Amino acid sequence: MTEPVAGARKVVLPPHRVRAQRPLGTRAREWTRENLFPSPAQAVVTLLALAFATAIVALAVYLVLAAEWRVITVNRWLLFAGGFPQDQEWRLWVSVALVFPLIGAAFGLWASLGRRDLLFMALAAGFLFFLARHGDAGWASTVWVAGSLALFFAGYLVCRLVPREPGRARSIATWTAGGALALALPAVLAVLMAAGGARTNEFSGFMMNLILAPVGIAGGLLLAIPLAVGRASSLRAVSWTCTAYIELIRGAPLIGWLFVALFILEDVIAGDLIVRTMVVLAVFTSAYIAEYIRGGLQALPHGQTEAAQAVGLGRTRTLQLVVLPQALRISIPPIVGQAISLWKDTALISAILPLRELVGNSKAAIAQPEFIENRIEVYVFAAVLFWIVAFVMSRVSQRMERSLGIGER
Amino acid sequence: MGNEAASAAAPEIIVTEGVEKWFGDFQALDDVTMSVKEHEIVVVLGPSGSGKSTFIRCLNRLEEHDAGRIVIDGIELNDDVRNLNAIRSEVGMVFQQFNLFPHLSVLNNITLGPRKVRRQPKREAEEQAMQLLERVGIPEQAEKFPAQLSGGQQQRVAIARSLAMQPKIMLFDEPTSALDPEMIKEVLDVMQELAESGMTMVVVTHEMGFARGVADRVMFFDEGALVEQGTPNHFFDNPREERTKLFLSQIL
Ligand SMILES: Nc1ncnc2c1ncn2[C@@H]1O[C@H](COP(=O)(O)OP(=O)(O)OP(=O)(O)O)[C@@H](O)[C@H]1O
Ligand SMILES: [Mg+2]
Repeated sequence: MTEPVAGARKVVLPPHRVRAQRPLGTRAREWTRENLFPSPAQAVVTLLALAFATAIVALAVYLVLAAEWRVITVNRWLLFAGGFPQDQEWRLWVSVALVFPLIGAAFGLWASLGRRDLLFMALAAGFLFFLARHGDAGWASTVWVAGSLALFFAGYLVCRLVPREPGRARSIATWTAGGALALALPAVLAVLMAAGGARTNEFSGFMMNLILAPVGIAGGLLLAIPLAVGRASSLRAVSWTCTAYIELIRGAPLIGWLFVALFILEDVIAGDLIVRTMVVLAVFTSAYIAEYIRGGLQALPHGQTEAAQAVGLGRTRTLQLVVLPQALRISIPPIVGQAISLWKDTALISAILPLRELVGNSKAAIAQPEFIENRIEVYVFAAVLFWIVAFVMSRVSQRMERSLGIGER
Repeated sequence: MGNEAASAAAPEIIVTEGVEKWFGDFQALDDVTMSVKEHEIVVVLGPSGSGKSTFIRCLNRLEEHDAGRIVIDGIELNDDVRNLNAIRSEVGMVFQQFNLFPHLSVLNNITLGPRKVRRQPKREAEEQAMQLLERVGIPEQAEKFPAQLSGGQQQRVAIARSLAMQPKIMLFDEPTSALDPEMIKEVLDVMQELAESGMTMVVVTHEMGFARGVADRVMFFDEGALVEQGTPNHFFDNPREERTKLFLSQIL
C-alpha cells in the first residue's frame, strides 16, 4: 500500500459496482484463478481433485450403462460361501437370521435410526433382494432375506420400547442384548459346524471374512484385558512381559504375522490354517486393544480406586467392578476403530495365505474365461460388501458413544 | 455435641502415637499423637497443605504411615491385609469430590460394598440402601445415575454409600468444599443428624459454623503437626498457640 499522493485522488466505487461493470467472462476467470489456482501447489491439488472426480464419474457411468452384472449372479455362491457344502446352505441362512435381529437390537438400544440410516438400509435391502432374486436363484433365498430383514426391524422395534433413561428396565435390556451379542459368535459357529455341518477348512468367500473378523476382535478383546492390566501392574516381571508382547506385535505389520501363521505356527498349533489365522488375528488385535484399554485405565481418576477401597473392596474386586467397566467404556471408540480396521484387513488374507476369502474368490470368478472382462464389476461388488459392514459398524459405534455419554462424567 | 457427658467414660476408638508420613524428602505428618473416643465428633482445621487430608487418609490406610502407631477399635494398622480389610469395613470415608461410581446407579453404588464385601443378599442390601436414601433425604433418586444428580445429592449418596457398610467411624475430607453454596446446608444437615445419632466422626472442613455447633473437639494442624486441640469454645475464643491465633484471624 502506498500513501495516496496529493492531487491524484480517485473516485472509489463500492466493490460490487466495480465487479458488476465487468464482463462475465472476466469474472469467471478471476473466480477460477482465486479459488482454484491461487498458487502452484494449490493448482496441483485442484488438478488431482479434477482427475479423481473424472475417474469416479467415468466409473459411475460405466457401472450404470455398460457393466454386466451376470458375473455376480452366476458366481453368487462362489463369492459368498465358496467351498461351503451347498447342501448345508440353510446353516448360512440360519446364522444370518440369528445375527440380524441382534444388530437391530443394538441399533434400537444404543442408536435410533435417523432418516439417513433408513435410506442406507433401504438401499442395502434393495441390494440384497436384487442379489437374492436375480438370475436363476430359487425363491428360498428371497424368503430368507425378507425374514432376516423383518427380524432386524423386530429387534430394533422391541428395543426401541425400552426407555432411554437409565433405570432397571434399561439395565436389564442392555445386559440381555450385550450377553446375546457376546454369545452370537459361538452360536453362529455352532450352527455352521455342529452335527454334520461344515468343517473349518470349508469356510470360504465373504462368509470367511464375516467369521474371521469377529473371531479376531472377540479373541483380541479377551486377550487384551489381562494384557492391559498386566502392563499397568506394579510387578516388574509382569509389566515388562506384557509391554514386550504388545510392542513386539505392534512392531510388525499384519502381513508379517500372517506369514507366521503360514510357516511358523504350523509346528505349534496343529489343525487347519484357518484356525491358525484366527489365532494370529486375535493376537495381533489384542496388542492394539490392550493399548487402548491402558489409555482408559490411565484416564480414570484415582478417586475411583480410593472410593472402592474405602468401602472395603480388595484389589481384584476394585479392578473387576469399578475400574475395568469404566476403562472399557472409555476405550470403546478406539476399539471399534480397531475392529473396523481388522475387518478391512481380512481382505489381505488371500493375498498371503492359501485361504480364499471374498477377494480370493473374486479372483477365482474373474479367472473364468467367460468373465475375464468383468473384473471391475467383481471388485466394485466386493468393495461395496466390505463397505456396508464397515459402515454399519461405524454407525452403531458413533451412536453408541453418544448414548453411553462418553466424555460426560 | 450433647455427647460430652457420655464420651468422658467412652472407650478410645482411634488412637495414634507419633505418626509420621513422608513424601520423599517432604514430611507431611510430624509426630501426630491423638485419640478419639467413641461417639465423639472431631473437627480438623488447618491451613492448606498442613496435612489434614494426609492424616485422615492414614486412618483408613489410603496412605501408609512411615512411623508411629495407629490403632482403630483395637486393631493396629500394619501390613497385615486381614487387619486392613477389617478396618476398611469399619471406617467409612466421604471425599471432597464425592467419588461415586459413575457407571452404577445410585442404588448399586450403595449396595456394591454390602453385597460384594459383606455378602449380603441382594434384597436385603437394597432394602437397607432405600432406608439410607430415606435418611439422607433422596429416596426418589435410587434408579438414577450419579451424573444426573446435583452435587449436594451426590454427596448425600456418597454418605449413604459409606453408611451402608455399617461403619463405627466416619471420616469426612472437606465434604462440602466442592459444592455450590446453596447445597452446602443439605449436606451439613445430614452430617449433623449423623452426629446426633451417635456416630464417631472425624471431619476436615472449613465450615466454622459446623465446627462450633456440632464438634465436641477441634484439632488444629499446621505444617504436619497437631498444634492445638480443645473444645470449640476454648479453641475459637481462647486459643493458646500463636499459630492458631494467626489462622483464626485469617479465616474469621
Ligand atoms: N501423594 C503425594 N505426593 C507428594 N506430596 C504430597 C502427596 N499428598 C500430599 N502431599 C503433600 O503433603 C502436604 C499435605 O497435604 P494434604 O493434602 O494433607 O494437605 P491438606 O491439609 O489436606 O490441604 P488442603 O486444605 O489444601 O486440602 C502438602 O504439601 C502436599 O503437597
Ligand atoms: Mg485436603
